[in-house]
Amino acid sequence: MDGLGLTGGRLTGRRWAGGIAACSLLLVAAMAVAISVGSISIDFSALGEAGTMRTIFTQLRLPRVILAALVGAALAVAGAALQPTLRNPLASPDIIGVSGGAALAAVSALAFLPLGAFTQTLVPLCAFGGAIGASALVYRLSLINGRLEPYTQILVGVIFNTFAASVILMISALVDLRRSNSIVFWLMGGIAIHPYDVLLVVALFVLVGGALLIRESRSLDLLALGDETAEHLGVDLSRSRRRVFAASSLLVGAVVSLTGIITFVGLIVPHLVRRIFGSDNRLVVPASFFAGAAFLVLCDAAARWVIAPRELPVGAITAMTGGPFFIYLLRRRSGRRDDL
Amino acid sequence: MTELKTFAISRSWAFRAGLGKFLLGLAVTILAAGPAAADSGSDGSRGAAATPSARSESDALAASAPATAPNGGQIVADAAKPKPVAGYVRDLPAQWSRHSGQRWASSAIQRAAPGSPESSFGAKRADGSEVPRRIVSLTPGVTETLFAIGVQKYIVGVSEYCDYPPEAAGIPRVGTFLAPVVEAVAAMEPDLIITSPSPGNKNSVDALERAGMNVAVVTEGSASIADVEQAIREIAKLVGRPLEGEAIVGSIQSKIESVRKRVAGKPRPKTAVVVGHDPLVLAGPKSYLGELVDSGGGRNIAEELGGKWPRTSWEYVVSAAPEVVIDLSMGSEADSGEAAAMWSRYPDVPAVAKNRVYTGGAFLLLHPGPRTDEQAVLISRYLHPAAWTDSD
Repeated sequence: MDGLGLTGGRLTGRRWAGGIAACSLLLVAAMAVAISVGSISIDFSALGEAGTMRTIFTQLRLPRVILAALVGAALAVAGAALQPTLRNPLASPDIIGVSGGAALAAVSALAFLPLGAFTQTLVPLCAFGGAIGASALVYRLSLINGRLEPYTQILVGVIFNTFAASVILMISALVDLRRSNSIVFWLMGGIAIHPYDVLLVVALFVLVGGALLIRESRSLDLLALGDETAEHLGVDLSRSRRRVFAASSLLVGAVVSLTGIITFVGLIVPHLVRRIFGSDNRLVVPASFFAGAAFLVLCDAAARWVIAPRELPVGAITAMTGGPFFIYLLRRRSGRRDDL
Repeated sequence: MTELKTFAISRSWAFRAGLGKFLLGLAVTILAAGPAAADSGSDGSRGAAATPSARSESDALAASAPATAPNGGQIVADAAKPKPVAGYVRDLPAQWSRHSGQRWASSAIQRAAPGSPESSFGAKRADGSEVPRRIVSLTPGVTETLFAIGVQKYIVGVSEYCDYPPEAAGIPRVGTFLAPVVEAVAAMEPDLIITSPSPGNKNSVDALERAGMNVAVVTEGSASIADVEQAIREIAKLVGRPLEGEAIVGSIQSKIESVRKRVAGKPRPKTAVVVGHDPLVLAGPKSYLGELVDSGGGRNIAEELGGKWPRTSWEYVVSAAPEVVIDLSMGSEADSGEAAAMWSRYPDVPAVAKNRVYTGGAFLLLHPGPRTDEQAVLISRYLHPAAWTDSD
């Protein structure tokens, strides 16, 4: 196995710190850009006193930028950890079933619960439950003789997502127009404005889940050497995969239940980070956390700004930047597969 | 070997993932087609809507509205003061276009108080609370209703699709009904934001409320006539003109009644009101359009399907053999030829054979609101052309 491609040379403490510092600086810069662009140009000198400007800034703009950062961080760090765990460069957080499960549960709630404000607040909880349930199911179905088998997992995940999509299609065809509208809106996804207490809960999930994945990143490097080699080197494969799986589903479940499905962040950010910093997961996983946050914050700022005062769906921006990159990766990967 | 296998799997994975996304995207597109058709209305085509019926009752009522306004002067000064509109929000043109809308020009305030302070119309409601002077309307129906009530000068922001009356085009846009741009709305410093409930705007409405804005979510006046009337009453109350609201509702009801009488006893043609082609959506018996078919003297082929906006198949529509087809799917008159061409594929449908496929009414008929009376007449004209003369 070619396994670990040390494109960037050996990972030293200094390189690690440099990489993390660069990515966190990028995040700070991205957030600075994001809070200063939008459909309204905010006069920052007016923020000192109460007034419309301050309200717009604190209640309408800042929460959105914060959510974009949390979501981007969660998706990217989960993607960065799942790609080596499943030994597949195209693995993204969707592959463990969370997105499909969240969508299916949210759509069912929107289709069958009584219409009203209460249902609206219930939907994210249902989506979270669906995400966790689905990833548990996908995990269970991917076990062969009690071990998580990466290829089986990928196939199960893909089939589950396709299955969920078709059930959603069926449900939306059966319900009336009003309900199918709410389904459309959920499926379109996007970074919305949520109250700070909701953001706090999501932040807890993202920070704890992110920390778990970062802690696991050393074993991920060994996993990339192949199951046998990794076991010889003392990695408990099953436990390591289980941890990555569980942490990713909590992390991604928490964010997709609020935002719906946002594609490509979890796929492309880890690859971008690998191009720049080399493939050592001890750096790639935490760096993806910050870079993913920065990427989505910038995409969301672009979504708010490009055709202001109207807005583009953030998913369109991530996919438009992600789509060509995805193709590029596919083309490139056919020649060599080195750096997971 | 292992490499090969891995690669084969990752390729098929990519394909399948692509397929899954495609399916999901397909679902979104299909579902979005319905609301989009109803939401986007049209641009510029006036259809058969250009008959302004003077709403003299409501004007008279407004003119005699109680005139208690201790604080009026100050509020008026506030309203008159130009507000800084920061950023990208489109500025008002120097003057609103004047080429049309006699009906609106004759509305209460402008007629009764040219140049004089409008404080005589009451800056306070009966309960003493101040009436709004900076209103943002986030739905076309609300905007139209505000104009009909005569408070258009207090509208400081509208949604992208607020295209009627034409004067609404001059008001700054603050996003769409489903996706209001909350920052732009807040920057207008509105004292009242009016919208309808929708899963699409729920989050924005919540955010605006958290930001301390006064958001009123009125009945979605796009389903049944009762809803339309309810919405008009609620809006009128919010802006402190309940009598105006009652007057509009009264005129809708009396017009529908007179249409009903005019076509009473006549044979009722089987009618299909097509709202969208792909998916095929009809106006059901419980929608305002279905109710207007009933009052206009027709038999709705969607009666058996029930509901407000049932989806169905072409087989159903063709086999129901409608004698009149009202096709609103194209939204604008410019595209209505397309709809007509589509129907010519079914020459056996009686409506097609007898050349009774009407495709030009979308601009009026897809705008539920204070013009329900005009809609009632237009639909009845389609169904019973002989019962109406040009002077009606």
